Amino acid sequence: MTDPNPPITILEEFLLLALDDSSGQFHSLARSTLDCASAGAVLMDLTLRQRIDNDLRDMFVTNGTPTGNPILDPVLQLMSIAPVLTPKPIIYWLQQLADEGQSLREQALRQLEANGILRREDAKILWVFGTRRYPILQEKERREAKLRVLGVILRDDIPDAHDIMLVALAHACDLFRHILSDHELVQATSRIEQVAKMDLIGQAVAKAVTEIETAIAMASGFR
Amino acid sequence: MQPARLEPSALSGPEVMELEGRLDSGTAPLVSEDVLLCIQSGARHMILDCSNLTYMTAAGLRAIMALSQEMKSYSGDFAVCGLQPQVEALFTACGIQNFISVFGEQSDAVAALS
Repeated sequence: MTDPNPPITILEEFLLLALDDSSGQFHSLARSTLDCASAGAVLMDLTLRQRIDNDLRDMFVTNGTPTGNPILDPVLQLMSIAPVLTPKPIIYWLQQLADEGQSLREQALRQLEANGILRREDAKILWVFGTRRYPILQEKERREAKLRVLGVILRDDIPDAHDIMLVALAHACDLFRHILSDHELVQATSRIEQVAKMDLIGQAVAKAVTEIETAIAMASGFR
Repeated sequence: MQPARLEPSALSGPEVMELEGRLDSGTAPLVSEDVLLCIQSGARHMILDCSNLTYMTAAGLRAIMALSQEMKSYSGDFAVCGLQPQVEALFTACGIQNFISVFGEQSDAVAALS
């Protein structure tokens, strides 16, 4: 059964998977994609902590008790004051929270830094352009996250909810091409898609990311 | 709002549990507790009859997936039957039929697991 109080959040694990091993920077993902995935990760974290639930149409707060997590509780509070009689779909909350995506990410990265898992390095390129890297100090958490998603896609049983959500986020952001070889990816694609489909929040993130990428592609084509 | 209800079936063969009402974040822990008790008591073939289950949320679905996995860890068989439209739509949207055996009628599920 899934731990209702996992020690590391989905958002933190997702960020660890999204960081490139060698450069310490995020894999090439559009900022809006990262924002959307970060928003989805927070909704998943609140779901795992049994604070929110959803059906095919709407998402709703089922327990407004604070979780004790400084990133999740303001979001839970925001969702709790939304009118109960007019529940909103997952995509509504994704859009609302994606606007705060960078802030959510910054807070999670600070938490990872505070826990000694990574460190922040700011530098200048050509004395002008600022660049930020997050070299990993403690590999255990990222290794465990990678091993878990690999375990999920290499087995054929039903994964637990936490792992399904992590796979769904990684799939939505196309991170498996950085985790698996091309050959492994071809072999595992069907299983990855099956597992990712099991989570409705992950489905909403994937849909939103596809729309973002389509919009970017169209904008690029018109240049 | 009527919670899901668990009733051991009078049929012989696999254990049949009849769910009724809603399976959501409020009722899923209760159903999980009862089904886990059955598994721990030795049940190795179990069917959840959802004929009278009118509403399910993602929390309910996660509970069913976790119970199926738990049964699998004991090398047992687990199936659901009688999905009503809202529940069936949720199963289909999440592709749960790829992971859990789903039957139309209880008799079909019983025959398959016997």
